[in-house]
Amino acid sequence: MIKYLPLLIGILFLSGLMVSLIYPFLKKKLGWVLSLVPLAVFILLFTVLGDLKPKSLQILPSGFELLEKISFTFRIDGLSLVFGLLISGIGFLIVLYATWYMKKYERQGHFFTYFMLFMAAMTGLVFSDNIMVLFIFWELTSVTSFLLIGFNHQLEKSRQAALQSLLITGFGGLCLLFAAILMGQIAGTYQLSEMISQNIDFVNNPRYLLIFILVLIAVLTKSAQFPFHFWLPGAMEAPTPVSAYLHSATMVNAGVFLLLRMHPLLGDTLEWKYSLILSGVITMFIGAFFSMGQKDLKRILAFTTISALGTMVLLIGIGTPLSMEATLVFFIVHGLYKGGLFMVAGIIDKSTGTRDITVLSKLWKHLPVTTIFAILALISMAGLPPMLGFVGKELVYVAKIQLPGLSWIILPLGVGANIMMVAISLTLFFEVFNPWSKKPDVSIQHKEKDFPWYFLLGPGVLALAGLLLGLAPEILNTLIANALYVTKNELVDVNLLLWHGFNEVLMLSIFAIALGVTVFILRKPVTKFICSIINWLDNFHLPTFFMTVMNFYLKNAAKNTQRIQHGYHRFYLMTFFITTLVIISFQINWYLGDLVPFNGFTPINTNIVILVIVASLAIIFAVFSKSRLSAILAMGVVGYAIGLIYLLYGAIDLTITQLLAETVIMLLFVMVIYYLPKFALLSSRKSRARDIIISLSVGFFITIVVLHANTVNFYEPVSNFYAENSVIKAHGRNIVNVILVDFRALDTFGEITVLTLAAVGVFSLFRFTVKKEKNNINK
Amino acid sequence: MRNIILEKIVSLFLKVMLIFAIYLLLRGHNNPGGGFIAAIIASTGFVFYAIIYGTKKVEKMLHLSTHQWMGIGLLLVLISTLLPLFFSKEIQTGLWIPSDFPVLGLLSLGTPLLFDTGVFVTVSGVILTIILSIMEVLEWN
Amino acid sequence: MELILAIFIGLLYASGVYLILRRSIVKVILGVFVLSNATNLIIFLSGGIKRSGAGFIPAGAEKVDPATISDPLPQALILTAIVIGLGIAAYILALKYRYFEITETHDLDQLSKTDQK
Repeated sequence: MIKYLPLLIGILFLSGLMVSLIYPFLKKKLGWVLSLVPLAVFILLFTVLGDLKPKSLQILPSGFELLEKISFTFRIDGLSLVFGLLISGIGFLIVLYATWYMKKYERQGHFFTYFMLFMAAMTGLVFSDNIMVLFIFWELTSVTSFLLIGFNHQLEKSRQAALQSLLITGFGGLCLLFAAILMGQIAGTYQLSEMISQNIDFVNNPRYLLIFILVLIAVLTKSAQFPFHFWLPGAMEAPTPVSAYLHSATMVNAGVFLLLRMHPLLGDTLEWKYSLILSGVITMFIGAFFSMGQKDLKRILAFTTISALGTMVLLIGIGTPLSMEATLVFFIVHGLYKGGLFMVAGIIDKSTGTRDITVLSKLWKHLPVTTIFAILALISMAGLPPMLGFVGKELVYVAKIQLPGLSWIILPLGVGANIMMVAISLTLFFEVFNPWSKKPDVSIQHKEKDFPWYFLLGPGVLALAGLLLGLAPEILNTLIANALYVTKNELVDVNLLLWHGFNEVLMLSIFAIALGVTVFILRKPVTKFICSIINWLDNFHLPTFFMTVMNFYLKNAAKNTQRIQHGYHRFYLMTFFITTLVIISFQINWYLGDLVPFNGFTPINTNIVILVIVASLAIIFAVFSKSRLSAILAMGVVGYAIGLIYLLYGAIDLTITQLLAETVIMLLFVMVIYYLPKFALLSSRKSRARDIIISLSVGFFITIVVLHANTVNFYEPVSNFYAENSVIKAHGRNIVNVILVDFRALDTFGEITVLTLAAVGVFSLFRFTVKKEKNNINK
Repeated sequence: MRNIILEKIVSLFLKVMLIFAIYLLLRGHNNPGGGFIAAIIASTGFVFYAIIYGTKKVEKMLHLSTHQWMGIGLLLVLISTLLPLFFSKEIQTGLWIPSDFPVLGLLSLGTPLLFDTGVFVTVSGVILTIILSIMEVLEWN
Repeated sequence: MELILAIFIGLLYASGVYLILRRSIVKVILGVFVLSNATNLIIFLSGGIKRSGAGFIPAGAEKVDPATISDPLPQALILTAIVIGLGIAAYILALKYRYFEITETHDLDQLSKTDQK
């Protein structure tokens, strides 16, 4: 069964690409059809769960090789299962949810295209066994999320947020590419399974630090860790289904996934521990802290996501089996409640038209079912029993206490973040849903009964799943143990419990809840305090800073381009000539005695010398002439002289052509010349002197090069063949003509094609014009 | 103002030039001449004609537009290039009518001559397109 | 002889380069013509000017001794180049004419945009 997984991932991609084809037939039913694909993936993965054994790892080659060593190979192990189940499960719910949510949008087809591609990329990412392929999927998630965040592209804010997220995550992606190449170089393979089975030692490699830093940047940017966290709140410009998906199971969690994947290869060094712990702690705390100061429902949730991601990164940094276990459980917890809460935010938005928590009130009355789901999710977020969130949070505490030496700083900050979570959950409940609130009623556009059942299905399933798993967390034991084996490379007994009995961890929980309630009660001054900090921090507003840097680049790029592309024709040419001169001067043989042709100079022919003198005088006259007509006539003299030189060397056809062509050119010139401006002295004396020097040196160099070219004779000339076969093979006695129409006819074919194009160009330049009065041009 | 003598001379001149051009085209394979030269000579004849009679008259004389003549020329060249394929030879192999065929004694008929004719027609078309466009726009007629 | 011709080509190149460095468009066009002529001469010279017999096989003969005729290959190449040069000359002339008609300036330094005035 499971061997169909690569096929299903392919179908996921195809379903995205096919949307434009099937949309006209399905219209409103599109979401239903599309939701079948993630559902199929989910069911497929679910069947694997049954016969899951520890250490079970299945490698599925898809048979498609991009390049040598880079083949689309997929792996099924505990870790990819955890992520895959969440991605496909939540994906299925969100596609259904979006079917109704997006139904008023015009570009529904586009939305589902991007969304399915995004889902496919994310699924591919967690199942790929080849790091290069993993990188490709990684970048695909960045690109597709760019399209999704910027979906409402008519809004400036939306475009900016999309660009910001693309630049930041794209930059991280490039770092990942670099790291993947380095790892591939060291290991000689890009397959993760081979790297692990061959016990490649990355940690003691001199390049370890570089690889680690690159991977770290990739993770920090993708998972919105400090100082790159600011793109995530901006990304809430996306339609709500996207936010729900982005935050719960995909995109930002890809960074966490990468850390877990890389842990057996790169993990557990000092650098790994301290950098992850540091960024995790900071992110966890500021995320939780700032979420209190927000008013927009989605923005609040975005900041709590940042905090949750920080927690996960921190836990991975700690790196004990227990903390890894906590990470995995916390990931599931977070995915369940965050997906649900975002979908609830979308429902509220649809129902009331606003997401401002200061305006929203008493929604229990209007949206009773939604409120129940929301409360369950909020309890999970606050980490209270009986939800899975409680199990997760207890584990997190245990993991944090475990770390000797650092727990004195991690623990208070962790508890602080938790206090904030409790306070936010309470705030959200009391501001938005509380039926006894004293706030004025919010205007309702849609009652709950206006919504179809599948619009509420998503938050409902997720909330109930959280509850079910909270009451019976042992369901997850095998799955987590398997995933744990992948990340730690050792077998650990996992025994999840809702109730641990009275111990220090429970005390901490109670303490945090109590303080959380206190903060909630004092929320007015607390919010005010946080807002003042946010206002003060606005001086160092990171998105603004980011845009400043970007603008700086753009401005400088424009300036440099202008410096090189200045638009002055003659300076381009001058650059070109001088560069050529400099390069040639290195190549040329400066010993003039060597410039004798390979079989000696030919004797001087007086006729030709006379022609050359005439032509030289004519060209000098043409250059300095002030009259257009005489300059052109002088040019004609030069052309005729050259034609006669050809004649004296026996090239009769050439002479005829040269004379005729010269005549035609002069004819053209004379016809047009009176419509062209008179010569005028435009350049200064100084620039003329400079040009004379440049042109004389070009002329000198050409003379040397021509002489030089005549000193060598590498091969027998091909024309000997032509001379011997012209009559025998081509029935022609004029060798030049035979070359033109027979031996090298393809050249001639090309040439007349060029001529035709020139003629078409002249024709369009002359005839497709607005006829103008010529009086002001002529004379 | 019409100048009858000039008109007569020019139309005679055109005929002479055309005959001369065809002569040069046909002898080109063995003697000085060929498609390019013939084309320039023929179009010179037309240009003089256009100067006296106006471009419209020339365009009428040519029956087709100068563009179409360019296209016909290219087509001839293409045919002569591809024709050998139908005789299971490589592209651009010269095909010859047996030499005892009594044509002008010296002239050998074959795809190269067709090729040269194509060059002649194309280049004539090109030069005429250019010059007639200029003349028309600059009101030389 | 090669020396004289090489110097002549050098002179032609110098003139051509000087002309195309001018700001006046007409001079630039003239410069292009000079350069194309000069380049043709280079090709001609590179074929060798030792032998000066015309490239024909006399009537009745089967072949000709290559040592007695001037190299026909560069000639064929130059012949094509001359005709192409003609096409390019016409095209540049047309382009400059239109350019002048539209912008009403003949100073290349003003050539920054192609919008109608």
